[in-house]
Amino acid sequence: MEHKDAVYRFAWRMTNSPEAAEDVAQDVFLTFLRQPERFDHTRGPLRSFLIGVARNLALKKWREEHRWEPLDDENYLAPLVDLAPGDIAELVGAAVRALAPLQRETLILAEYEGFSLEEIARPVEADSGTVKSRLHRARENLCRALAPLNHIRRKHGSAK
Amino acid sequence: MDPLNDDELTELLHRWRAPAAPLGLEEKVFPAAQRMPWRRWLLSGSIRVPVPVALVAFVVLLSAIVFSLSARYPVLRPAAAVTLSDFQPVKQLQPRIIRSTYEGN
Repeated sequence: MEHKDAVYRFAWRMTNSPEAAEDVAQDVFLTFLRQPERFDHTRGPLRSFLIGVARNLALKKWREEHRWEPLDDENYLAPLVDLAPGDIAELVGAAVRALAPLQRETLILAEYEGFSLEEIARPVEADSGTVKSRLHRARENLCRALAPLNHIRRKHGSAK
Repeated sequence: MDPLNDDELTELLHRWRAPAAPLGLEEKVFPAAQRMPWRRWLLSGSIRVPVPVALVAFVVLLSAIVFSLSARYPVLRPAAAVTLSDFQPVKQLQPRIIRSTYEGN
């Protein structure tokens, strides 16, 4: 259970629900306990493997709720954040959650879990070039979506 | 409206913090282990021991065994070397004849 925090954090950011994140994390570890042979240490560290399982479960949950939406869309433009909630952390979370799932998972693994492009490529089952392009689009989308916060930051010197 | 630059975005992203895993998660994953009675645990339970601790324990155990064996069977040291000069002629010989009792009968 050494990686439980990393797996839970990832699931929480992907699902936007503490209950769903706990379900995903629980399923990840139960899957590993029941089928430990699925983990091949020559293909990468255990953490990447567990995150990969969490990623598949989170996408499955997302797919159940968004049956007809694409997992990624190159032309997708994230909407500008609504400043009404006021809390910057919440606004940032909302902007990340508004990203298409494949961009979101790439951004979460790179920014919050410190994975390199090669390390992200393994659990998301894509090559490094694709991961790099998704990360670029995710960051571009967020730069635009969070622009209203920048306006406030510049006006007040620093965001509160 | 100007979009954020890379540094500003990174700084903002790190304001969104995720909570740690709930305490109940481990219990949900290992419910059987949590409920195992201690008597059953003594028969079928297991503990994880870090390799350095196991190595130290093994060395200590081995040393104890070697020490106890060496105390039980002390090593016999050979006597000091004997040379011919240590042999002396007998100065006074007092032979004593011992007869058995039935010889007199």
